[in-house]
Amino acid sequence: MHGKALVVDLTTKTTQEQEIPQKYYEQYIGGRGLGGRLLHDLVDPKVDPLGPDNVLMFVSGPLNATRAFYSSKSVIVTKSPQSGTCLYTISSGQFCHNLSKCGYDVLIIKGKSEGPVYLVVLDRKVEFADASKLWGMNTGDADYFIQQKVPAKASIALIGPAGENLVKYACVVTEGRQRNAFGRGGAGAVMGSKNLKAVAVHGTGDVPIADKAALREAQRFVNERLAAAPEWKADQRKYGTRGALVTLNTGGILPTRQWHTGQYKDVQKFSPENIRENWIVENDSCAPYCPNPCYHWTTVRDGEYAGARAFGPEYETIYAFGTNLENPRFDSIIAVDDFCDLMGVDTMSAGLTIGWATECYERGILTKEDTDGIDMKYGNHQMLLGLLHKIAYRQGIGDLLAEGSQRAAAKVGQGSDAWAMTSKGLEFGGYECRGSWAQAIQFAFSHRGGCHHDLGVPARFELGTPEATKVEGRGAVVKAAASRRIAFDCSVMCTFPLAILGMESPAGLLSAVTGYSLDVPKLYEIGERVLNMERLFISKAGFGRADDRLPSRLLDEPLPDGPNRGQVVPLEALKDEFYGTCGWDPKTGFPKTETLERLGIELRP
Amino acid sequence: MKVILRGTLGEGAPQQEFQLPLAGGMTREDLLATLAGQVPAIARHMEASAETGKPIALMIVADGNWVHSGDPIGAEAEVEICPPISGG
Repeated sequence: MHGKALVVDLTTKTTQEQEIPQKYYEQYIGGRGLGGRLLHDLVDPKVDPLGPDNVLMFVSGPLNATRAFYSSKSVIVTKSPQSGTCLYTISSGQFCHNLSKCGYDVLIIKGKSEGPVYLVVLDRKVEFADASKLWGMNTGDADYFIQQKVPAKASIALIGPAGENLVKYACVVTEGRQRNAFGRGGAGAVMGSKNLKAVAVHGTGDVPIADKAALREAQRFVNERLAAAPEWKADQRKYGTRGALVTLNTGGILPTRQWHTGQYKDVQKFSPENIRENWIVENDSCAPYCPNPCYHWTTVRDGEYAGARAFGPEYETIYAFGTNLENPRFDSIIAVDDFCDLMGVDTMSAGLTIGWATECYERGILTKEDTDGIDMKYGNHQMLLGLLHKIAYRQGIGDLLAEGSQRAAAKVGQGSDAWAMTSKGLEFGGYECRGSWAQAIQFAFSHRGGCHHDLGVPARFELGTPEATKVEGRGAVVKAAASRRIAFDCSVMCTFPLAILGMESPAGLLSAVTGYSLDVPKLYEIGERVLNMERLFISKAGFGRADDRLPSRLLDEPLPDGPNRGQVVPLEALKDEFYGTCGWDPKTGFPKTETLERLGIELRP
Repeated sequence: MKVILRGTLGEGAPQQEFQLPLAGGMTREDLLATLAGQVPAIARHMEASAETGKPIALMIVADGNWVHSGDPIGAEAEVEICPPISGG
């Protein structure tokens, strides 16, 4: 790491370099952890996320630009306009590789430009370019335009119309034709609020590696771990994140019909074999330095969506626009995936928000008068592209839906918050949690909101065991899973192979690159520190025990079928369990002083 | 008993189904031990479990119900066996 941040003030159009304290690297490593620490230092936790006092940070990790396996990830950290909490959001791609090769670990963007602008960072030189002609363009067109102005290997991160129109779940799109995304939590709206259409970055420098021989040895270790899991490797290459979809259905945790149930009757339409046979045209990696590519290009050859082509859709998008809406048309989901990327919209929040409105419509709470004449019924795939367009441009019903399901439910009322499937305003990932209480903890406590990534994926590895529906011990399961996730997110490494690589892999890679002695217990300690740092931020922002909530559907409506039928989430007991495990005050949910002291977390300087 | 193997357990045939003439009342452990002779992937999971001392990380659902350790399985049941799902 370089020990330096580049600070860009859009209000004054000035830049400066800022030193980052060395101890922050030792305590938080980089990526999600370092960004969380800096957010706490730089931003009042109660700040308006869409005001000029919020910052948007691109934060690299020590492994970026070292060619370490699985290191082609980039992180944005900001305060989320969707949840109001601290947000880290991760994308595949080389943005942070390029940033690191410029000699910076962090790009901090603050203030607000008077007019539309895009930034170009070429090594140590920064240009503020007029983006007035790009404002209104979709991400594909704007990316093409900027590519003509910057070096061929530059990385571009940009927003579409959704970000410009401050859609609460607008994302930041990157890496050209693949259109990877910093998807969750509304970082695109933060860029839009700053009149910042795009950031292009290109670096040509070197990154420090403490021990190159040790790095080669650590790479060999990663390869050995992968070689020991041939079935997993083959499954990932052939099916990617879709590989477990039918298994999740068998286990009763595939959310269906707006989380009424965890099993979908037409699940075979989305079976990995069916998708591979009918839709996938090419296996590809989402970024360089991946030894086992798991992404796929899909295309629609005929019918009403002919010509649609996507780098995906991944499991979460299939859940959000497929099973959750009882939409069996995979061709429509390919088209939706592509369109969301062009508009700059998070597919998960968009799908779940449309799901919330669909249930309102089916119950008569919303009528055709409210929906601009759209027949918002389950299974109506033909409504999706039109609704997404309305959301991106905040037209008609789209203006309500652009706020996300929790805010929309607060406005519409009539008990509709019961099926706004969110926590802290962020829509859930696709893992039904009434039969997996560690997963319920994850959704209720995830600091960026109802996230499937934030605190690990306990629904998966406890599924089908008697422990899955016990209160005692679930706190420890989630805390350990969270620490593992955080270690990868700070490194910055892809988490898909986490269970295969184990914590030994990032420990070896990080030690080689940084020169620090980072063993597995140390990484768990860092994970716990970051977890508490994030908790401290949201506590200061005003979040407490009452905000660690789940919608009443999960608390009061037993699952009707599947192997977890009859189950609900005993949330208050799980809260006590998790607070106790983490050393947080059970009344307020704040980290206790002794917990912060034990972890060496210093308060704002 | 109808047995459906899902995911990687099928060894390249993602969903493999077959009938087993098994007696009723057999437990999860009995079923896995019987299948290990026919399904290499299940044998590997059992070996891994023996090495690590951890429970066999396979999900089993019979007629829509979880089959935990020691649970009996009916002779006419439809049984789905799933590999553990990757994740951290």
